[in-house]
Amino acid sequence: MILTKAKLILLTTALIMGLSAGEEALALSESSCKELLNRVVKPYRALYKKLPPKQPWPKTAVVYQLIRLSPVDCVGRGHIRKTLKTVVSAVASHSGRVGVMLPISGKNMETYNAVLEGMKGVYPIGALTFPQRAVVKNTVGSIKAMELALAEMVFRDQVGMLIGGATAAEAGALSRWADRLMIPTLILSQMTPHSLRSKQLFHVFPNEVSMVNRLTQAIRQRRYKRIAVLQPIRRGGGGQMTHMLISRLKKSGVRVDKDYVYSPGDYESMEAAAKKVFNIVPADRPVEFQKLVNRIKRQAKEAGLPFNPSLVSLPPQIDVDAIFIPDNFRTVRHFVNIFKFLGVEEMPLIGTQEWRAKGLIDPPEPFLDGSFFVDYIGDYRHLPARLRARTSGSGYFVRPEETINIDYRIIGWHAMGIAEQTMSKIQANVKRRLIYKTLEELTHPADGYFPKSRVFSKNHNSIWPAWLFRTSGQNLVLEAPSRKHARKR
Amino acid sequence: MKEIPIQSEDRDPAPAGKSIPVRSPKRLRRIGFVIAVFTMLTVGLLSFMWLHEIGIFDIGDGSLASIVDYKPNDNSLVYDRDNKIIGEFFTRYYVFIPYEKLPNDLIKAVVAIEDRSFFEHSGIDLRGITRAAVSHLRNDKRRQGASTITQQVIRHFLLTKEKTIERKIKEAALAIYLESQLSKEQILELYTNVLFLGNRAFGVGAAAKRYFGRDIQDLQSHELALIAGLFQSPSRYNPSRFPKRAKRRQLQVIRAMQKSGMISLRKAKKMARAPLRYQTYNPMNLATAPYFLDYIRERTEQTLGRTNIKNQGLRIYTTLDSRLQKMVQESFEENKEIFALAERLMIIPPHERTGPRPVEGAMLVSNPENGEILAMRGGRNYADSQFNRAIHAIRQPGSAFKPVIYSLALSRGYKWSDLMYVSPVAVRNYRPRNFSKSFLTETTMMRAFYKSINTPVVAIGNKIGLRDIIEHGKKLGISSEIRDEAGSMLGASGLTLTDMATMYNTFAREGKRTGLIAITRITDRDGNTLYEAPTLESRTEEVISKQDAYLMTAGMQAVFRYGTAYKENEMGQYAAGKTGTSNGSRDNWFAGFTPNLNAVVWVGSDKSREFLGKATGTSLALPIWATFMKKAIKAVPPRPFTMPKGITMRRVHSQFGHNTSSGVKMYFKKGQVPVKTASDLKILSDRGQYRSLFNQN
Repeated sequence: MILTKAKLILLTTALIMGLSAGEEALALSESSCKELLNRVVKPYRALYKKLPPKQPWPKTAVVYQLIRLSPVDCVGRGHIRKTLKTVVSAVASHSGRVGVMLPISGKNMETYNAVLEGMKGVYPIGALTFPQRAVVKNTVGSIKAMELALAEMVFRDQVGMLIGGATAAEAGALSRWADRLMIPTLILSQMTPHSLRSKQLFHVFPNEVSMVNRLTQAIRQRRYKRIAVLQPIRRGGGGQMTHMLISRLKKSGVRVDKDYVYSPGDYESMEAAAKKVFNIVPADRPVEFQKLVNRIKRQAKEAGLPFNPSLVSLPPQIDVDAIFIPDNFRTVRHFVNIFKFLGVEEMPLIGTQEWRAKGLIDPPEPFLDGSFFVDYIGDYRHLPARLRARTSGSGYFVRPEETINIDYRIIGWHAMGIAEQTMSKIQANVKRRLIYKTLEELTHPADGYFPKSRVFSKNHNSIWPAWLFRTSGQNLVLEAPSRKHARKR
Repeated sequence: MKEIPIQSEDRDPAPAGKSIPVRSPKRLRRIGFVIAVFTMLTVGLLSFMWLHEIGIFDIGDGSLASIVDYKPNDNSLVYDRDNKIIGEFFTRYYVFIPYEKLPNDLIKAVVAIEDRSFFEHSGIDLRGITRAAVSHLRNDKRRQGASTITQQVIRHFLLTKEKTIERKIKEAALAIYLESQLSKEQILELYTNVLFLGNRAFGVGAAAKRYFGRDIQDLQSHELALIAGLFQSPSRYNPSRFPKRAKRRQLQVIRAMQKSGMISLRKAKKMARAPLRYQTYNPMNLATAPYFLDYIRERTEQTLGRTNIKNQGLRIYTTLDSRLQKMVQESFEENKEIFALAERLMIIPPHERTGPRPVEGAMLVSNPENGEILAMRGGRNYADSQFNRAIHAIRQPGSAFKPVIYSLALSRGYKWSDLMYVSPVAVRNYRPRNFSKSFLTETTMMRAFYKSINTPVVAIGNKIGLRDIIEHGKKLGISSEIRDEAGSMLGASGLTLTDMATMYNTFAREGKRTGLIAITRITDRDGNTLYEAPTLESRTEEVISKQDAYLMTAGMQAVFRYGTAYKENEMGQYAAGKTGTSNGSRDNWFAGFTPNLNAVVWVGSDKSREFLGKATGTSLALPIWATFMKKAIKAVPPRPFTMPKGITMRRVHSQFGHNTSSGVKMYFKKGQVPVKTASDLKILSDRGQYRSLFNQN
């Protein structure tokens, strides 16, 4: 049994490594052959079942032979050899096209159509070239629809690479299929600790690691010793970057106060969190609070006015050098007002790409002068030509209605760019199961937007740039990398 | 003079045993004659001296000047803008009735009971005097007066009522002299118009009003008889107090009329049987605009520098529009349920929970075009409280003060589309809350205004500076003191309704402040002008530009279209206004206007009681204002607001301030038109997230 398993692993490795059936000298036992069928054929067969009963297209491809294999085909040396050949051939052959699965209708259709638009932007005449290079299927935001699309792409279109997993659910399902089907796949979602790790899976998404690095660097440069984190409670998590930053800062010797959570949109909770940051809660400073109450009562009495409890507010105790608020510009603006209301006159704030809006600095807010945030987009004017949008004022803003779409267009553009680059790089005879190697070694083209580096990190996470912006009056100042540096890219 | 015969028993008897010297009768007669002459001379001389002493010989033209030249005492009258009398100021109530208008039956009754031979004697009635003297000598219980009407007139004007022979003689002499100076009709006219007839009434015209509530010409014979009976003793026969006594007196008058042949027995009986129906006098002053009349009296006294203008015969021409005044009254009546609601919502300390809950209200209506006060109501019930809240109440305007700050902001470059984050604000130690306690939202300046959100205006006011705001408030027409404290920005400094009316009129009149007036002219009874209101030009000053005034007015129209007055949104077509609610809903306001009509309404309590949350300017003051305005525009059709040059309209997103075809109408000065066609906040609002790629699901 142990031997059989070892042989199977060896065989699978051989398949993945690209050894042809004819070359390999492995002599499979009948049981090993059956194991192989179980491991490779089963998922294909399971996927095939996702298709409607009668397919209108001809079933001549080798992949159809694969799903027809049965344990009988593992009886006899000749049969085993034939079976092995069929399996290897089925997981290697492809049409050279890219399969794209996106929920382009339904709740977030605008977002995913932006992704699709970005993909088309890879081609000079997107409308004409794109359909030749890619097969697009609408998943409608449902796993069932996605699986049907996947089945069609595998059995009918025989795509060489997949792009999908735009939502967390789709990403999970697609990852599992791609791994089992041994199809190289670009997942359009953030890699999480729970993400499936597989040689065939690559995450194409703005990478938090580089942003965290950039923030850590900025915080250290400013010699901040203590940072408070005002953390929004959000459904569906989203605190990964915060966790990473906290961990990184702690390693750098920066003290992080992180117990300040609030519910976005709930003023009371925001005020309570802010009060905790500045130690304004009366219960924490009872003696001082009582003295203050007495003083205001006395003043009211002297002025002949009734005592007004709303006038009693402890002065803030400012023990932190800056506050990290991983929330959008709107919340930040409201927090600024709350801070001012509590008597805090200045406090550097630190943020993320969610701050990047004209609304952050218009109308101007002097309190925010010197605050900074990180973003995965620098100057919009330096975006790839086909992604460029009309900028608003400086190159650091685009029209509001385009801001979010640009993010997704970049993702689509980047994913399709990677796929196109990969598919054009590989030789026609390069087997599908070996494409991942090309992906691992792929470097960004010198188009100036992405850094001159490999496209993916070792853990198959795409490497994205991170820019640091500082607010100054009604403007943003690009602080890092320097403009010159940024231009060079 | 009759000689009384000397009775023999009156003579002293001769002492016994003594002889009496006997003088001859001739001598005796001579002596007697001498003594008589001497006595007569002495009496004559003494009488002459006495008459001289009491001034009989001084009687001449001058003695009767006060009667002959008498001008009937007259109330000061107040006229509305249509020259209809709406009020009269008096201590003594006079209604002058010329002789020609005196009812015949009244003349008959007065003459019958007071002086039957009035038209025959020449001032004194010798037969009457004799009759009175006899009655006096007989010590008759029913003593008869001998004074003629003429004598009574003399007594009223010139003499005291003391019963001395000197006074009687002088009265008689003057009466005779008066008869030579005035006709009988003139004397009777004086008599019937100047004598006190009880109940503060002087003269028959006044008595008719005060006892029967009608003009004298409208009284019937039996009622006239009652009035004729009052001359003898007005207090004693006052029908209001002693109706039975008054009835008896009336019967005496009727009997006298019949006895003297002025009426038939049949008529007398009929008159006697006719019932007397008294009607409580409803003074004109209470009928139309009592609070306004109080104000007019105060203003007249101030204007003329007099402490009392009653019975001065002044003719005071005012700006009051009686039609609108009636509508004001109706608006209060038709909104009784609003006051009932307010009473339920009023927070009253437990120890004061018994008794009525005094929710009060006031309203001031003016014409923005000229500052004329058109109607006024100073309280819910004048009989209960004469305190004129429309003039004297100083109450916190709450948000109704905001136009001061917003108009200043607009003049300083702020624009309606300016975006503001609605968050708490602290100014010094002042930490206002929003009425709805809604923070964490965004708004344009206009939306903050029409929804009356507090903190944005404090933020703006804080940037502008309180001193400038106070100055601006004065410029707009606020004369009450605006305290130099942050709370003033939200209307915590008390203002009067006149302050509010003047301020809102300034916006309605395209930036021109016009002082309020209620009196256009005061004359004496002869038509001599004592006061003339200053001309409109001299009362007008341009304090903000037409453009800024229009922007502010448009903002106040939006209060109807989208804001706190939305329940009357159709009125936004022609009116502009603002609600106001002070802390604890103590004061609830609505001030609103068309270009030619402005009304300010306040509802609250004199003791500044708090109300529960549902009480606001919207729920308490606006309904009264709207009821009035809907009626008033039929009488005063509203002119459209004129958009001045240099103003442009755009449809702008009310919350985020970008141009959008589905937005609200906003107006801008040249160069201030918003250019944004989208907003990050809108994107965030629509999508629920903003560039939070890492949280997508």
